[in-house]
Amino acid sequence: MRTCKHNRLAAILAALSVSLPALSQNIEPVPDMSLEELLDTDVVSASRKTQNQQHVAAAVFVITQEDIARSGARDLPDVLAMAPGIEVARIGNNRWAVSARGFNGRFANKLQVLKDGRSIYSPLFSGVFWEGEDTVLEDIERIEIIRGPNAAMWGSNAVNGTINIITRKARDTQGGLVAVRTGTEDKASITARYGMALGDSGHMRIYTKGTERRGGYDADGNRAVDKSDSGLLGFRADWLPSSGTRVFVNGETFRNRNNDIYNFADPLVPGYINPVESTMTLSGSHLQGRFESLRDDGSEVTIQAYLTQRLLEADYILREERTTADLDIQYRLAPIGSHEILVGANYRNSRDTISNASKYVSFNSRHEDFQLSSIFINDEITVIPKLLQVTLGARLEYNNLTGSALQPTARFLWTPNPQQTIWGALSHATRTPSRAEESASMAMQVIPPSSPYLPFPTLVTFGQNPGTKPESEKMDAAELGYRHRFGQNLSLDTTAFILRYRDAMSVVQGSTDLSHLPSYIEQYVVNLNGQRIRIYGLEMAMFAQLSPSWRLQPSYTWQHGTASAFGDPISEASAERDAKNPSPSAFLAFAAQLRADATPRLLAEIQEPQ
Amino acid sequence: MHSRRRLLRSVLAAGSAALLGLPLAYGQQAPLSDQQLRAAFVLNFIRYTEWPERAFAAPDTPLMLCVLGNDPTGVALGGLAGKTVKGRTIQVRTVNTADEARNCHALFFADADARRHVSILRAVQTLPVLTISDSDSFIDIGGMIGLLYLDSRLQFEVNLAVVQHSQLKSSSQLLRLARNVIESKAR
Repeated sequence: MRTCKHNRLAAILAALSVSLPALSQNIEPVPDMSLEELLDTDVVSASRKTQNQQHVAAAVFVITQEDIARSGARDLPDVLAMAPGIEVARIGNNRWAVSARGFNGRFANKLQVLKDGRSIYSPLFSGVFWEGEDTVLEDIERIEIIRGPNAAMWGSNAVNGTINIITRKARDTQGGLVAVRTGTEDKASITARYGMALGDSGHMRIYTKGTERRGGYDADGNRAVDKSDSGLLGFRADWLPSSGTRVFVNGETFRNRNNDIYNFADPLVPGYINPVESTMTLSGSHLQGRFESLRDDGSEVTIQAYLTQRLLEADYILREERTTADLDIQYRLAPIGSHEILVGANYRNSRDTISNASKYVSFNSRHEDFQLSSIFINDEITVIPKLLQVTLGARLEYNNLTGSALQPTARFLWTPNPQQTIWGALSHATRTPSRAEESASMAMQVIPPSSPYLPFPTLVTFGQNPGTKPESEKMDAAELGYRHRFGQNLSLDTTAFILRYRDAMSVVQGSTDLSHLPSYIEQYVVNLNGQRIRIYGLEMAMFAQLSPSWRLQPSYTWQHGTASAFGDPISEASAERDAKNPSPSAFLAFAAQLRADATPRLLAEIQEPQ
Repeated sequence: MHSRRRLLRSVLAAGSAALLGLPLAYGQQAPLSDQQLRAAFVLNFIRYTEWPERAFAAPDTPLMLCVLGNDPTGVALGGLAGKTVKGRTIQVRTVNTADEARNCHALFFADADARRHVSILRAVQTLPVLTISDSDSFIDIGGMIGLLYLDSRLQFEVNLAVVQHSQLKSSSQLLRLARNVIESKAR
């Protein structure tokens, strides 16, 4: 199996080498065209993308608006699936699991995800409810995906990676847009946007989107219940009060409803599984503002604040209300010799109220007030101009659950010539336990009676260990990367990494409750920090623009993991699962995307230039 | 079963033909590259700008187009050397410092170092130097003309306040075709 895949890789490489001579670069004659003709010429542009990626000491990948438009993607997870090294799995027709470098699952919890600088992961499980993040894809300028830790820059949770979604400036989305989509799954999706000028120096857009999606099909070919519908309404305004000063305000309100069957473990029902059909409603709104000022001496101040309000109501399961306020200040000093220093401070307060609605899931505290504050410094040092750059950074973070943590990073970027880049990084990152990890109880599974001497089923319940509190997970990473750009249209990007997790969350056997006898035995399992996991991996990605309409982006990821256990049967099983999650079998996926503009989709668009 | 295999075979054949054939077809037709088009835009920006008399020593003084940085667009601008605009020959030169930039008629920023751009823009802001770049948000930081890539096309935006401050004149046609014209009190 493995050799077969290697052969395919070799075949693609051979096919590409044939076309290489056509891609070589020299100064081309400049055509004599009028402005009208130039503005009317369609062009495929990749340069800006490779340009910026070339000078970053991290494993980055950028998805541009053009990539999104060509992909026919319907939602953010669809878009993210384009990026090499990002694992996107669809659980139902309305739910996804997104992760990088392993540990994927519905509750994948080691990614930092930002929309225009606003963190969108839910502290409930330290992951993103992707179904609640419906987005006007036409308004995305680019998505920067950074694999690997960079908590110094992006804060806690940026353990396995950071996804940075950047929307277009309001002045780039002027005029009207209506996009209507329909298909076998999406019953209908309608997007409308209108952009206008605000005085001499401001612009604004108002947008709305509604989507209704049918359920998928079950194994018997019957329509499943996992349908969903969502709607959102928002605006973005940008002002340019003076050169170098930018003001940005953005607000949105949304609602998503999705339906599914949740199989709960229940020792009292036949088959020990109680399927509960539940409708989950996610709704909320946010208001965000940012002020950026770039001064003449090269220093820059950025102040950002946002307030978000969220309500999650899962019928028969739970109800969570959450309010988050966040303030972030960054100051980039004017260059001092060969040093470019960025300092910053962040404060976040997230309060929740959780009410339990079922016997299967419960939280042992109704309210929580989570406070997080941090300061960071990042120094980019030009050691040898145009050849060697070293970056030293660290973030000191304090939260009221697990105390303080220092998250440093050291990186180098060596560019022997404009085509080649070699970079390396050593980083330490931590992940704060989620609300669920520190206070939830949940029925996990029922073990049927195993012998005639013990004729009772055992209910395994995930619970809290009285007297101990979960701690942060820690991760150390060493990464080494090599990028090579062959002219404008072909580039290679390789990253090797070793990740070492300490105090990783694992479950161990807890107390046994015999009070339910003779019906069943309740066996608790509890969280314990202390698992050690090691993951080695290699990521390779290629970008080849063979012609304006022909692009090839194969990527290949290999990972191997080992995890320690405590000698307890449950922790053994959990260690085995965590080590296998990033197993080669799961990631030996060789994806050659032959993308042409032949993606079957119907997109009617009325665009009126301002 | 057989027909399905035949279908698969023909799909594979078509696929490999396309894989090998398209790049060859590309080589033959040689459509204009992204960088060629960017350079052609720059030529038009120069064409549609009027410099004050004092910017040139003599009627036949060459027009100096300076390039700061060496990204692919900067390299492609080399193709403008020798072209003539209103009787003046374009000369292309690479510059590295603000001092060198003062003697240019047009200055293209061919990298993404916004902070360096700010200090150089500041140094030439009162001089008749047409500043152009395709770096992100160039006109926000006080640049005159920003090239954008939006909706599969190249477009441009003009910070007219900065142009006027430098005693240059942008033709009405240029402003009419711009995607955005900023007229704030911005320098």
